[in-house]
Amino acid sequence: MIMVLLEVKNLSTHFFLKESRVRAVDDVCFTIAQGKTLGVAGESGCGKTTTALSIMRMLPPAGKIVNGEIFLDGVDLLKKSKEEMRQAKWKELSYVFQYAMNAFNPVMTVGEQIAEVIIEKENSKSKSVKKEAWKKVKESFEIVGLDPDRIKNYPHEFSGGMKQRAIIAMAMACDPKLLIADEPVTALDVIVEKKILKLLKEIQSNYNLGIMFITHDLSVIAESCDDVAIMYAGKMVEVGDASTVFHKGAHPYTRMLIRSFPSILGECKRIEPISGIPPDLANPPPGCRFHPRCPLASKECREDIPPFESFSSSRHHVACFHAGETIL
Amino acid sequence: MTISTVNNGSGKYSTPSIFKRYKIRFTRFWHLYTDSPFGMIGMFLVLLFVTMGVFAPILAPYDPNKTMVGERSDNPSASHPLGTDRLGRDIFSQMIYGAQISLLIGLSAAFISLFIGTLFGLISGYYGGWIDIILMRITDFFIQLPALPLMLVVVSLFGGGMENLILIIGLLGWTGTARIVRSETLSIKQRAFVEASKSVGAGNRHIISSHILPNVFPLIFANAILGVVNSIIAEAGLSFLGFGVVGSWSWGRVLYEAGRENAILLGAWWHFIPPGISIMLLALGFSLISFSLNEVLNPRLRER
Amino acid sequence: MSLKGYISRRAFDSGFLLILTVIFNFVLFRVMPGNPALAVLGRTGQVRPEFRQVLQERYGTNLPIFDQFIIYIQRLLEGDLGVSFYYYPTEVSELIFGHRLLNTILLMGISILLSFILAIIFGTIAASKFKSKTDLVSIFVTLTSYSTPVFWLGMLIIFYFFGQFHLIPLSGSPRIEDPKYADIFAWAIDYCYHLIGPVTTLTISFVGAWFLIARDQMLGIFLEDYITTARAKGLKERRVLFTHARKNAMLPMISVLAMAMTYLVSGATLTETVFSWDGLGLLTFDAVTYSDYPLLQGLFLLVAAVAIVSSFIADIIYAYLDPRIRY
Repeated sequence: MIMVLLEVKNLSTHFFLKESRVRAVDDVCFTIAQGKTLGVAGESGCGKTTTALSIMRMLPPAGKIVNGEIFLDGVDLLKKSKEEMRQAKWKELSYVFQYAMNAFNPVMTVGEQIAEVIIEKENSKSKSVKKEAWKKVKESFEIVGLDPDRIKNYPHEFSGGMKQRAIIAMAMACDPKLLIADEPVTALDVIVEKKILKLLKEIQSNYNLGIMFITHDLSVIAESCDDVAIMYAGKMVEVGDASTVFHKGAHPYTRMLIRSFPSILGECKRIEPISGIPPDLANPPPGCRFHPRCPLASKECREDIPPFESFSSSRHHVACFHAGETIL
Repeated sequence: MTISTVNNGSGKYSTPSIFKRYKIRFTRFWHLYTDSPFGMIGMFLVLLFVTMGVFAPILAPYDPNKTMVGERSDNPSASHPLGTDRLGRDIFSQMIYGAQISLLIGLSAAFISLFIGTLFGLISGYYGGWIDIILMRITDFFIQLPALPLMLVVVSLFGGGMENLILIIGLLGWTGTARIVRSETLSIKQRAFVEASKSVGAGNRHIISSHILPNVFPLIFANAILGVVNSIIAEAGLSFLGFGVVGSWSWGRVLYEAGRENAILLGAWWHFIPPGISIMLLALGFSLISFSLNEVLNPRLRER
Repeated sequence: MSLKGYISRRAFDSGFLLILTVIFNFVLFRVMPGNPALAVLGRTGQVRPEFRQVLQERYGTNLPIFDQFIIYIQRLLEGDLGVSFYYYPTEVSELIFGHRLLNTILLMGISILLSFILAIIFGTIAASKFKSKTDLVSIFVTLTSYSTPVFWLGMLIIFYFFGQFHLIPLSGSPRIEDPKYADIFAWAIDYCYHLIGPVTTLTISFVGAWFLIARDQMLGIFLEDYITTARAKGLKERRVLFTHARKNAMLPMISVLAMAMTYLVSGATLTETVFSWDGLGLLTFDAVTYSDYPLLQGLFLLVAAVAIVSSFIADIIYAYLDPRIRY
């Protein structure tokens, strides 16, 4: 029995700019199971990060969640008050940011920054809590494979890979149920990337952690995710388990995206870029948002928005009128 | 997103002419600037006082130096809206003429500061190394010195007079500009287009004048306007202490005369409130312009 | 570079700058044609032959310029700043290092501290509500106070709070030696009473100058990733603002404070003049008015020395607070 950890239903997040309204995330649905990883992929600007920030309720001032529900363990995060949300952060769900290199405050030690969040979540400043917190900091350093003697070091004394480990240690400090990792390995070299991915896997199986893994790199997803969600222009186009999406992807965008990635081990073939550019989200095309770039586009696609329906199995959803049709 | 190329119709993309590029840039800047209420209020205030200064001979009802024997220390009346001083001179006319001196000294001193500060900042930031260390130590030192006492010392050593006052205020007000220009130069120096220019063998002078200067200019400009504010206030202070330009009327001098006549204790508000408000409003006008320019032009603020 | 190495390099720099200042101070007051004593005679119109006598005895003004410099340095090392022309025969050091220095330090110290705290608090609040009404109103108010000449503000305060509402005394700085005070408390109370006017004036003016710096620093920091992280961690907003952000914003504010240290001894000439506050600022004004060069020289040297030392200290604090800076 798969236990659902996170369920996002019909989430729409729009940015209200001076003269326009950017539909950055539009009617997005997906779930993450306990102890599983969902990889979210798509081009830059397709709404991956906005979706994640909506879950954290940390949108910039112009961004507003206009519709939808976000259930974490059965509780709607959007119904929480600001204060309840603040308390839930890090205890229930934590976040590893893009550009992790600057995620630590340069004038505080790494240990301090991990300890402070543990202490604040305890809501007490007694000596024993502080002592306990520092003990946990040491443990968390050990878990991520860092030398516990370095908790009193400053961020600039750490290398990139070490910082990334420290950030994961920080994210795990309060034993959250869900970890949102936004491009956690993009800035790292391939070898460190491998190690960090392995570390995440280990932690996940030890702590039954759900992970939402955002990346634009399909090979990283193939390597580390159970499920895959493909986003295009603020819409979810295909969700399913990794092997289904990679081998039997039904949405033309999914298939073209996979084809545009080179494979090292597979046969040597020409990679095919997707022609055209993503649409302006302040003024999206009517119907399916992918139709201007889609080789299968028909009249229907230009007029109606394709519903997000189950396709080959109950866990495989696709939003396309021509799902599964062959691309010439 | 900035689109730096335009379609010229033949299907090919090309870079527009320099003139067109500046025009596009200026139009965009102008739209942003006129959006800011602060900037518009500032511009209105400055234009108001510029008009007042330019048309002073027409607007002023009397010659500010003309003494009227029968009308000494008069209260405000229809013929003298702000009364007269103890020598029977019309205070309202002194106020009108005051705009000239404040604007003249403020603008020219700021120009001197701008010139020196830009030179120091460009050289320091571009060449780096020992030149940078020495120039910045000098700048730091001048920043730390309290400006007004130093101006007083210099005025007492070399005497007052319009040119001296402008020079002194200008020569002691360049430090902020130097620092800002230096840090901007440092960041622009490392950008790709400067590297590219170097790699094709462009000389230092060419790089400074055609790559760095145009890019630091907007910030220099916003800063120079703040320099005008500082100069106007410095002039007012010096004049108030009796070290201003002899013979011509600035608002600081009106306040100096008001102080000598004990206007505060006598309750003669018309003698010291209007000149003070004028200094404040003119300086505020320039401050608002500078602030809005900075909002529009400062790349760090633009990111938001 | 280690912290020690950094400190010793900065100490060397500061020493060098100090020597330059002494030379500059010597040269500046000798650029006038002829003998400074003559200049004094010419300005004030009073013939005081003892000046020339004193100058020649003390500084050898009849000797070549290089010998004069040697004598000047020797005197300086002995702590001798010369004799004031105007307050003759009082020594310059006696004029500076007395009740005037205390008056100025108290006035400036209180005003600087108050303004610094207010500027940081307002700056942080305005920045955290970027582009809100609160932000815009506080910008407008502080720009107005920045544009207001401080002496005129003082005049307004006297006009309203003394003249109309009788809330503050007119001016002056009570001296403890004054026989009208029964004990030290009576004096202290009256002293504080007299401080209200000038402190208010200076605080308004300083906040006007520092608020925007503080706000700008905070805005820059709010864009930093570690603030986003701190918010994501669900820390209380107070902790985000005043621990994570402030620690970093404090760094540039230290330079501002170092600059303010110079005011601590230079005094606020204009404010002290308006309120007849008997401090070093007023003394500077007198020295300039009466062309009292030895006194000016002494004041200038003091201010420059404090400027150099405080910037040295600021750099060390900076390096201590920001572990990245020890280059």
